[in-house]
Amino acid sequence: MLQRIELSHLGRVYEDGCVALAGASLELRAGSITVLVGPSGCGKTTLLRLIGGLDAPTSGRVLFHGADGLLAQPRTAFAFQEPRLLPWRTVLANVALPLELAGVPVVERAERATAMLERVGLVNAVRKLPGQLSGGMRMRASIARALVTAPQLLLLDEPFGAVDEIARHALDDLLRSLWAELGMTVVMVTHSIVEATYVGERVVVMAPAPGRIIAEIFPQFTERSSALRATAEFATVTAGVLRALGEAMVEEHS
Amino acid sequence: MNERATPGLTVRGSVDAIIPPLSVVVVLLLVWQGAVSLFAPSEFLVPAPLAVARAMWESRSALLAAAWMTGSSAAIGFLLAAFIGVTLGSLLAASRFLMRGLYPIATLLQMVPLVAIAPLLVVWCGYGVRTTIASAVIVSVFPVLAATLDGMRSTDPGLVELFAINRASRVQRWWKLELPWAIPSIVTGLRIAAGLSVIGAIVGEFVGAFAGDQSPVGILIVSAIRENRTDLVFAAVSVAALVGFALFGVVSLVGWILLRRWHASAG
Repeated sequence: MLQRIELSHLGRVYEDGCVALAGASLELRAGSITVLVGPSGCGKTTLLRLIGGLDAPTSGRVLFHGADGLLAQPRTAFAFQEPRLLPWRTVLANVALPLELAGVPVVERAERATAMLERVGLVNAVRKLPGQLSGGMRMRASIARALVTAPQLLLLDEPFGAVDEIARHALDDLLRSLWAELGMTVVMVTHSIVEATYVGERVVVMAPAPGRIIAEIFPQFTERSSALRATAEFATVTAGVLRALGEAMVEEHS
Repeated sequence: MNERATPGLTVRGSVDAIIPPLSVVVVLLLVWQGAVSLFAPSEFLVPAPLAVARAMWESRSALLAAAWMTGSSAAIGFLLAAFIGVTLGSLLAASRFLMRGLYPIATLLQMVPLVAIAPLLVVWCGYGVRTTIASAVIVSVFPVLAATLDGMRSTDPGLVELFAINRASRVQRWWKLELPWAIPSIVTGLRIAAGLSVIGAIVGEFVGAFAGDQSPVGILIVSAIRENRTDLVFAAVSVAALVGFALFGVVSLVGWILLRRWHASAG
């Protein structure tokens, strides 16, 4: 059983000498929701890919700690800025794809995919093709596909970056409620400070050149609902994230 | 919500599609008939469209039999070329080594004129339908291979990564991602191959078919030329074009059925 994820002095230098990430250390509690925020080129996506095993660090390690020692990479799911749906498959068949690839029997995978689509509010679109959906609906399908395998670790790379602000707020609420219900560890990358503050239990602020972690903020609100975004309390926390980001940019320019 | 209507075959749409080319054909035939009436060339040189139509009617049973023989050779050759082209294209797409090794050779081979190697086919396959089919395969396999290879190599890297994340096997990735992704490209290759397969079959018939009670289009053309029946040559060529067009139409219809719901090319 996963207890925590330890990122120990993680570095990633590309073949051309570009330092995407320099010595990032972080400890993520299992079942937590962490948001990485920062300007372009600060290594957010690199860090996410290293956690997910899509890329290998050139220095440092990613360690998954269980009660009895180190574990292998836990069941991990990704969602990206593009929904990455197969255009010839129905929404149901897209969501069921990971189960299909894993050899889950057809009836079981249809049941599980339908249940997940119901959970994300797409049960009426199961027979539609991705081309017949709005951007927000496609993202819901993408999230449903990521969660259909009941992952222990959900990694999100700017998942709602391409949808409009109102749809984005609804998707942030959906993500929070899925996280609260399913209890997986979530790490999300975003450019939006408002989204980072609203979604994250912990906001990790990163700076570029070289990519590194410069601050951590722990937004604590009594209740998270749409109205929260308009409160002074929320504005104060957002301002804290903004200040940290501003310092990062000043450092970069100096 | 961004609802996209599923494109469909409507009467209005079909009429709109047919009228322009039909009008051009009618005008060309009228110009041709008018020019023949005006300049009165020897019928041996250029027969009038009405003379061609008469030859078509008089030799209808021979032409129908020829269309069937050539059409079936072309269709079998086309199907074999489709199978070989998609299989080889998939193998080349899967292996950088195979692609680097075989693709230049395949490109070189398709530059060799079919007419030059057709007599060799008779040596290898003997006189008869096997040579005709082999000729159709040789000329139509490359467009399918190239289209399959290009289609598969253009698979969205994001989707390839999605399959890798879900630990898909190589076969799963080919069957569930690369092959469907390449279908629009493969359909384009198959459309080209459909027309080429008829040309290949006729070239094969020129060198390797029998003249019997019923002759294929290639033999019919050769016989008509020997008999100075240019009107019958034109009639046979028209039949060959119609056979090619029919094959092209079937491939286009299958492509439309496969793609109509999700790909802009079928809109």
